[in-house]
Amino acid sequence: MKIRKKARYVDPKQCNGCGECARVCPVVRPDAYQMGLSSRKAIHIPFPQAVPCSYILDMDACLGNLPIACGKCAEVCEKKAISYDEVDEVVVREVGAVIVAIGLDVYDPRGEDEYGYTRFENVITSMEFERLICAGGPTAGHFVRPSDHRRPVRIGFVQCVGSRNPRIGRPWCSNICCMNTVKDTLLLADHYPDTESVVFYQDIRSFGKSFEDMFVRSKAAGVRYVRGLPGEVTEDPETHNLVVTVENTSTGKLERHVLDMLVLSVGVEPAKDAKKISGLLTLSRTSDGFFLESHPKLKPVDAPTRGVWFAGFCESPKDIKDSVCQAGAAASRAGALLATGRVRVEAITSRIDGAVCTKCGLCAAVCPYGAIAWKKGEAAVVIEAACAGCGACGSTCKSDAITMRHFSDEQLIAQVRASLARKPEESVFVFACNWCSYAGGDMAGISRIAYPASNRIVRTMCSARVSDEMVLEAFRCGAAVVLVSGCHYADCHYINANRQTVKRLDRLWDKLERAKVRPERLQLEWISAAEGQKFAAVMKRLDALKRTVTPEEIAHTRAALARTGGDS
Amino acid sequence: MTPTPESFRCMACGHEYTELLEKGEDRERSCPKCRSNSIRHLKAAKRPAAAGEKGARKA
Repeated sequence: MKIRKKARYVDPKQCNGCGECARVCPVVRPDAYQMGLSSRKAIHIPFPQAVPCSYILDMDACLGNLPIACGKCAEVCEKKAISYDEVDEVVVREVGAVIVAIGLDVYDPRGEDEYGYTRFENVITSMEFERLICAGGPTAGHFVRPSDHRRPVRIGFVQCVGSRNPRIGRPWCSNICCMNTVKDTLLLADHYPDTESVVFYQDIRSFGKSFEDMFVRSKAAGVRYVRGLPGEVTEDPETHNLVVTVENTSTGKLERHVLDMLVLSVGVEPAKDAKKISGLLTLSRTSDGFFLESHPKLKPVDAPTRGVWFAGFCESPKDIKDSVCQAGAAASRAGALLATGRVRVEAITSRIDGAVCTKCGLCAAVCPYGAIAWKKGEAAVVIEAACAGCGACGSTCKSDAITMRHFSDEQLIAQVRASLARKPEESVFVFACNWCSYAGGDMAGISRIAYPASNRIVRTMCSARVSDEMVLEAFRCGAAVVLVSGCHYADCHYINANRQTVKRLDRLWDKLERAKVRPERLQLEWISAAEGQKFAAVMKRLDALKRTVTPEEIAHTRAALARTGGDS
Repeated sequence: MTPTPESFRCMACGHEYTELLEKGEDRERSCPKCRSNSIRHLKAAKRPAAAGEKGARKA
């Protein structure tokens, strides 16, 4: 693993943090840590608790790379800790485990200009509020409003800004904002008892230990909670007070609030670097952009790529306590792997015959784990430690160069033929994935849910393992109806291998239609392990469909697919 | 990215419908009528290229 260690331009071992350099530095920039509410010099300590507590030079702002122009900080540094010539260092480390903890980004309300954030000075975000009320903040804890530096008395909080809003592509709940606002109202009540706080909300989500108690205390402290988000925010041009119009959905009445300050409780979003990291480590992300865990219940800290774990917000919105829990779990999981010193490889993996491989690279393109190494003009090679055995590659390979151990083409085709050896025209042939659909069938059984006995089930590890040839062979054997079933999208045990199933069925439906075979006889269903009822319902529906298939139709199907070889 | 309208057919009940689809969208599909997952993506029929257009047959 290559790690870029960015140049600090100040030797932390030499720097004693005296601050002389910052005093003489002529370059002033907005301080990002203080949300731009105060300034810093080009040479600065990023934030008060920074480790190591030494200065760092912002080379983009510094004039020092033109020594004639400046160089003052280096002149006054007695320790000679400053070097303008330092360059980024690339550190190479061999690692056995990776924990992804890249954190989050905060929603920027400027894009939508929600609630007049870009127009009115006294509309601030919850992050800016944090800095203003903090003793280490730009006003040393004196809570003032930006327009006139007077202490605001009537303060409004708007919840769910940039959260739970599909219209702006942010349908998720950010998890932390409700309790952050409750905490802020309690802080205000404690520091400034004459403050009148009002919170505009959709729902207050105060689940978690002691959270409901905090919410109750906030209400007891006089904080008013209005169920409804503001429809309009205007500003009095003279006083810079804000007029908020909101429908209180609890009373059904329109309310008008005159406030000194409005705080937007901004949501959080996946870090911008998440896409790059997902490419580096072959990770998947949900449609929201958060990293997808291996299993939502059983492996919540594991990445589907083995040897990688998640901690914190990058996996899903969570508060500090949950992040710490997840970090501990990830560290334990990684420690357990490193302590054994060995990696247990899946027994069910694919194997590529280099002599038969046509070097097309299709297998590498469909592998959700990036477990197939391929270069143009070279035969593909399976990285067995990374292969999880879904079989997507095996069913995609056009040259039969890939063998799936324990689920080979020969074995599965033999199962199809054996299952349909007797009365195939009375059969609904089912390919069921190991993890969900097959277990869904079991669930139907143990739940004593009756369904027709016409089905013939063959298990594959993933629905993506089912190749064109296997489906066509079932039809050639005389099956009236064929079902391919797998896990729901969110539950796919092989990251997203079942998306290949969808593409394959789309192609197969076209193929059947061209062969004048009724494409409706091929069906696709996502059935989870808990959906015994759905399994039974699908079987009943397909049994009814089977009854509509005539012997002539089956005879034609056999002839058409035999004649064309399924390659029409 | 601008979503484009795409047509789908439910292979279980035959219901045809159109949905706005964004490129790269990764969403499980189910029939709005019968909830089946047997959803076939109907590709738009290609319009024959007019004379002079790229791909048009030469006389």
